Amino acid sequence: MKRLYLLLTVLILFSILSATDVFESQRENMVNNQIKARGISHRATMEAMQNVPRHRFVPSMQRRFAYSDRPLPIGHGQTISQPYIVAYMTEIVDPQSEYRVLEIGTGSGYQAAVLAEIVDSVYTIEIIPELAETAAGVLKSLEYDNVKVKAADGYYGWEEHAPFDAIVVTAAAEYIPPPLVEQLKDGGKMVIPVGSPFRTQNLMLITKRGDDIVSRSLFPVRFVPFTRSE
Amino acid sequence: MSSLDKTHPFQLISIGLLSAAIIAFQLVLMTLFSNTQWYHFASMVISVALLGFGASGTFLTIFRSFLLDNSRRVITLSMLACSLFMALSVTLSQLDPIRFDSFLIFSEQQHVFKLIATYLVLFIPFFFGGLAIGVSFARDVKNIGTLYFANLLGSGIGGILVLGLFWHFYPASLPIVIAILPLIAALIFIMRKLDTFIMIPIIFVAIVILVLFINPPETKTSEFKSISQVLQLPDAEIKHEQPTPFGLIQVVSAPALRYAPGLSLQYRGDIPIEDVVFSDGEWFGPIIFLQDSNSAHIYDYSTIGLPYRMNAHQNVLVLDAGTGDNIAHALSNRIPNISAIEPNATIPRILNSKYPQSSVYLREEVSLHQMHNYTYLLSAEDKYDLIVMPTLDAFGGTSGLYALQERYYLTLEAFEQMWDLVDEDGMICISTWMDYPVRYPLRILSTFTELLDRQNISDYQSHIAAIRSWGMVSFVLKKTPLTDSDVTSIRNFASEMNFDPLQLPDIQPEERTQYNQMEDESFFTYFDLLMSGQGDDFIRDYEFNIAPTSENRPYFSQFIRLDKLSQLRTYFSDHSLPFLELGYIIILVTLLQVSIVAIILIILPLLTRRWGGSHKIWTLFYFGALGIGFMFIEIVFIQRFVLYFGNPIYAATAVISSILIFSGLGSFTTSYFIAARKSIMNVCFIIITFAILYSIFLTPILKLTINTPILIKLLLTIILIGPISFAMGMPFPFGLRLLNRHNPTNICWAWGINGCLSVISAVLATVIAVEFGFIAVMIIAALMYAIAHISTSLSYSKF
Repeated sequence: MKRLYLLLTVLILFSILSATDVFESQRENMVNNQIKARGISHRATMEAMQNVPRHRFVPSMQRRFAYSDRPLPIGHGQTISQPYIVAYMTEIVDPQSEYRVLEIGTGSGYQAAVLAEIVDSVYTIEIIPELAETAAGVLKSLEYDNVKVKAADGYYGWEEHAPFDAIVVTAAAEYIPPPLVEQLKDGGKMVIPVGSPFRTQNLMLITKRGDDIVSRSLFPVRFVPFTRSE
Repeated sequence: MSSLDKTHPFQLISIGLLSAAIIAFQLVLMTLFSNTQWYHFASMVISVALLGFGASGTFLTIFRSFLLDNSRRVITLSMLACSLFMALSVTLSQLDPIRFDSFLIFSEQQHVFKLIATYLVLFIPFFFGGLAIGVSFARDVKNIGTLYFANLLGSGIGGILVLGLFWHFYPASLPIVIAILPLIAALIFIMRKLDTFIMIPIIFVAIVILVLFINPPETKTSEFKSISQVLQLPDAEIKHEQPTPFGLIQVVSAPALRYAPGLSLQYRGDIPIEDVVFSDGEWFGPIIFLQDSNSAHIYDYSTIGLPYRMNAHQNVLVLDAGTGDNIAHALSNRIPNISAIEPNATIPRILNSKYPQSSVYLREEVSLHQMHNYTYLLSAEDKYDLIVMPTLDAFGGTSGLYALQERYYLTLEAFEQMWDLVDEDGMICISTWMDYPVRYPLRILSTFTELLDRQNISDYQSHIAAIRSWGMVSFVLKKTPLTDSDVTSIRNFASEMNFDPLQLPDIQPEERTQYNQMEDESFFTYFDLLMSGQGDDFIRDYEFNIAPTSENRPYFSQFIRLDKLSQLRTYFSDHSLPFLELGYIIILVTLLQVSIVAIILIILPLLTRRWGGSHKIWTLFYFGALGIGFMFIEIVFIQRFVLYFGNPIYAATAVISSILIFSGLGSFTTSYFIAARKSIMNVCFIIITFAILYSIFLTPILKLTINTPILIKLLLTIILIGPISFAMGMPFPFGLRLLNRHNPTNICWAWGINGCLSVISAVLATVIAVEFGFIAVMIIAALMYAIAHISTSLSYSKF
């Protein structure tokens, strides 16, 4: 009987370790094939994508697809973005270690975790309380102490911690809330993805330069630039 | 066959009731799936479900002897099964293992299996309904004319009936209500001699219907539909709800709901919180609460505000007014006369009754015309100095859900009408979200340049202005050349709001990207090509179809070119491509799907060893051609008469019911004629002649009489639809009677072929209309009847 228990324990431990190994190797493949191969060169971003266990941020039913090259549903009509989009959005705001970053639309919490690997502090707002709670729980379990999660209407930003060096808006709408523009530092960058949940094709970068606010449409596409054949 | 089995009025009534139920159920299912999923998935589901009809014919062919020997019980039990599964359709399709989410079909395999399971659930009532009708036809073919008449008349009445039901019942309850009809049909059918064996299932089905009626099932809307996401917001609630034939109208309020499309990044004020109207779970429009007359409207801080910054206007026409946001914008700019066009009568009614303090439709400056936009343009005589169109596409795109929505008011012909309606100094304004790859702005521009060509104006630069923000482009097309004052106003507006001029007579390249830059500036290259007058080559070569649309092909939001499909797959994955233009992709997949299943069902009986008989090829071609031809003509009529009457729901119902009633009468009169080769050939020739004449003259006749009173229009409709429909009701019963004389074993197979091809043709007609236009659909319908004519001439030369 004792031998049987010992055997079972070894088997369970082996399974856990195997699973962990599998996720790690999937993560490495993701970074190499989906991120590096598509031109992401920001070292800190790549390291962050390598470190953050994406599979912890998706529902258990989706775990085997966690490192696939696509977005995944996380409930409440929301999705966790495709890994490349997360990497691109991180790189494009050029995060530095001293940065204070605001995220609107916590969702799964994955983007916040990636940012938290790089910057000093991340403030993330999620309007759906259940999602905010789940994300906060996962972030806490992974010891991302520099991430603060709030369940609130992201329209108002997070004034008490403004201004922000960068703002990542994942829950985009037909307008960019004026309070967010106000809370962006001069020279700061705001990034907003544009597109249907499963088809994000376009990213918008907003830069504040004094009184002027400049927007730039970026096209990661699939991700070959869409050019006409000659 | 006993005397009980001969055609009897009770039998005709029960066939009529069953037929009414089947048509009503079909329309209800489309509404149900439009409400919980998306309209195009509704078409997909319905097409497969209707294959139940085709399958019933195949089943009948294989088990003919047994089914006909027990026809009375088979018919009754089939009607009861149809009733039961109609009533249970919502309950079963909403079970967790079966309920699918259309948005996840392309990314999660389990939803594909769930979709298949949904097909099976919905297949069953159509199968049993088709079986009951098929057996009724097969056992009494010599009275097929009368039976087919009952079938068609019942179908026509079913269409009218469901229209009334839409106003009074929520979508989830409708199948239960409709299920009563086949139950009554079964009772009437066996009334002359009650059978104890049958009474038990009758009582059982009645109890099930009663229980479900008292406690109807709930439907769950896809979590990715707009309303599902909005209802997740804190304190979101549905304030008002109204089922209508247009869809389920719901008004939602939430403290976090705001709407300010393409708002300038320079705007520092508040964005008003608004209630929002949804139709079938999709965003319909915001209810703008009118500010005091001194407050600017939020649209003044978007590119949409462009025309009001150029000029003061007096008479404004607002097309597709919806919830009135553009009307409110005009009111805030102190426009004294506003004509608003909105075909959906429910929306103004809800606003007036639930928001009387702020409903724009109650303002004295506003005159509402409840009709189709294009119908108004064809019939209007007033002049306007500004025509405002609704904003196209949506932020983030609509995934091409509207690719198959006919938008007659965006066709070249519509813009020509608008050109005539604006006065000398007038302008037309249209805004669109920027999409990627670029399609909408380029199509608008190609339409404008083509319009100017038709007005013999080659100097596009002087008549077209456009500005661009971070997300939107707004165009102004002016009848007279833009003045220096216009250009200055546009530049000032753009500068103030951090917008960029996109097109001005003296535009400089660096102006275009001062505040809103683009990584890929090829958009400007394409834009300039179209403005240069050398756009034809570009339009021909571009990966998407951006040519102007027409009355014949009014699909403004449909851009995919089938010849470029493989190329697009290299840019967008198979996961992403469907969301580029979901509506059209779905229809293509549906066509493939139903074609495969239909072919299997048609081929299956041929593999039955015992099945013999002659004239198989004739049966296949004749009944297949009838199935396609009938449906194609019906679809073209619906499209044309919707424009004629200006109201899509009532027009479609009137047309469908007229076609079915007149063709029913035609079917009835076949009893007085010999079913012979010559009869068929003569009738087909009449239909071919009508179809060809209508392909040329129908639209001009309708346009010529569009301003006549409604009663004259109704009379004209009967005159135009009646005769051809009457003739269309004859070939099917003639054909079945011919078969009955020479090869009765083919009858069931004929029924199945006709059913299958009818299903395919409903989808095929849409694809043909998109690719080639409605005239092509009518011509092909004529061709189908020509096939019926020729095949009869060749196969039955001895008759």
